[in-house]
Amino acid sequence: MLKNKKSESVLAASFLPAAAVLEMTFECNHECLFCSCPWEAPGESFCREKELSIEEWKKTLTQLTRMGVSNFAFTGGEPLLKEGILDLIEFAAGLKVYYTETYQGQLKTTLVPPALFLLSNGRNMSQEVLNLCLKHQIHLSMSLPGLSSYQKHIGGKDTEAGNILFWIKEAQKKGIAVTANITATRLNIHELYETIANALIAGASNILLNRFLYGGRGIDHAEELTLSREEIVFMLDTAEEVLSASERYGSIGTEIPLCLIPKPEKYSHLQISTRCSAARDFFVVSPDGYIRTCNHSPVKLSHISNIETLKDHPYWKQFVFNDYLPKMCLSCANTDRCDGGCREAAHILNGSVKANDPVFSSYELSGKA
Amino acid sequence: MQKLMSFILCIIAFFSRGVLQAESKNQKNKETSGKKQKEKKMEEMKIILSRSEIAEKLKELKKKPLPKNLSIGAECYEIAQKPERVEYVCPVCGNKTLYTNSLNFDLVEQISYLRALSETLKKYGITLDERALCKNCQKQVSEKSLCIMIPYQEDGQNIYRRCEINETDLVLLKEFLSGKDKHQGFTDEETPLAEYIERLQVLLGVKVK
Repeated sequence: MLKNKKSESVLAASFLPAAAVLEMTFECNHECLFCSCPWEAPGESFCREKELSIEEWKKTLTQLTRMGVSNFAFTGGEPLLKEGILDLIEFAAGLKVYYTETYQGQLKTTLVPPALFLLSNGRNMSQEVLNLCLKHQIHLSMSLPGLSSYQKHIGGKDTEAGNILFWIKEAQKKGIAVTANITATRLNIHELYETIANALIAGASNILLNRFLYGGRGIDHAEELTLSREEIVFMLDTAEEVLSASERYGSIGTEIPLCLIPKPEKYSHLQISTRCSAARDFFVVSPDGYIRTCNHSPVKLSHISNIETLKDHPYWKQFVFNDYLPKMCLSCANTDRCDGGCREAAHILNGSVKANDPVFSSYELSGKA
Repeated sequence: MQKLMSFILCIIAFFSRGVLQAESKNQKNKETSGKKQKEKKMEEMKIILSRSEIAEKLKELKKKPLPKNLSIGAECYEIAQKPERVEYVCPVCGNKTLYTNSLNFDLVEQISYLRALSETLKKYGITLDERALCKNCQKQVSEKSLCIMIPYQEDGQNIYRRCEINETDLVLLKEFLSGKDKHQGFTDEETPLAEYIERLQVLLGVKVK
């Protein structure tokens, strides 16, 4: 359905990014060592308020679609623990949003259903959930932090990596696009090749690889999990090796400082992010309705009921306008394509979004410089 | 009466036994089937740990067609492939303008770098004027490109406005105003700044006699 006449530029429906990550609940049935959810950080510095009800979430989704948000990612905690989540997903699938993109050199706006994503740890996965994903073409993402190290990573819970591979296979059989979300840590880097390979062989359509980042529960485990510079390069090389062997593709989520990558051009099957997308391409709504720039961020900004004030929030604007480069990066020639690593992890570790990414701190602290 | 009751109880017991036997049989069948399913599931859940076996499976996978509906994960979270458009957020009004991915693409992609460059010119009173890029603010300006504004109060003209500014222009101004005599190009090659006098005159709105 065409809304407007064709043009080369148009005022957007709102200032919001196109994608919203919706944290359904604070609750989780895993206790991942690497969990970056800010409410799991030691010291209870993140104040958990009352979670939004399903009805409140429905109003939120309706409001966000009116503001031009066209992608919704349901996550948590563990989203499948939220009572009424499937009903909410059904509701979201029935919404419509004006979506603008380039078509034959002009901007074209059409009314479409939002793109939906479900990110789960897989523990409560079921055929019912898969059928819902199939019905509404929901992209499924399941966490697979290692194989033999899986149980240790998820806090010793009584389940195995094989369970995730099983559900990947089931999803693939039904024709559901499924991403294996792998957090690389010092504890699973030795089996990264096997982890990626098994996910692909099971039927994952894509790999999303994230290095462990300082934050959340991970603060207490940073020393045993944080990858060194060399291990980050090893992670990239390993992923590229598996992906190219199978002619599959993957991406690195958490941004990596460009200066850490000796030959960025050699990765043909791995898309490496070096720029932060928070507040530009996506934003997060906490279980209690507060907006944050990204899932790592412990900084609560405006409440969803007061979303218009977000536009002028200084913290939000720092991310929108890239006003966060660390001092060490200011003289670099690549500032137009690199943000010097994760700004939120830098903030959590060093107290400022303009601080250095933890990879530099850990490198210096471990005396490897 | 007692006999009748005993008979009824016997009948019930008989049928109950039958039911129980049937249930037990069903249970046994269920268990067997459950065991088989579990075995099947375990088989399906099998993790391949041998590199040679993995290599073989990866080769097989390579021959299979790529799955459809692929999405790109450019963030920590799996987000759909970015829309085919360029987004510009105005630092003045905070509104967002969408462009086709050809119009102003380079300019908008570079804008944060250009802003950082213009920061170094602020101490000379030179500011970047991005209003032309914002659909909400552009009605305030006639030129439809990136501009710089220089206050020349001694000429009686409050603000000199020069448009169609690019990255090199800002670098030239930065070098000139900080007293350098060389210009550093994109690939770090150096040329005498004097070669750019004409452009600098245009940018600054002054003429050297």
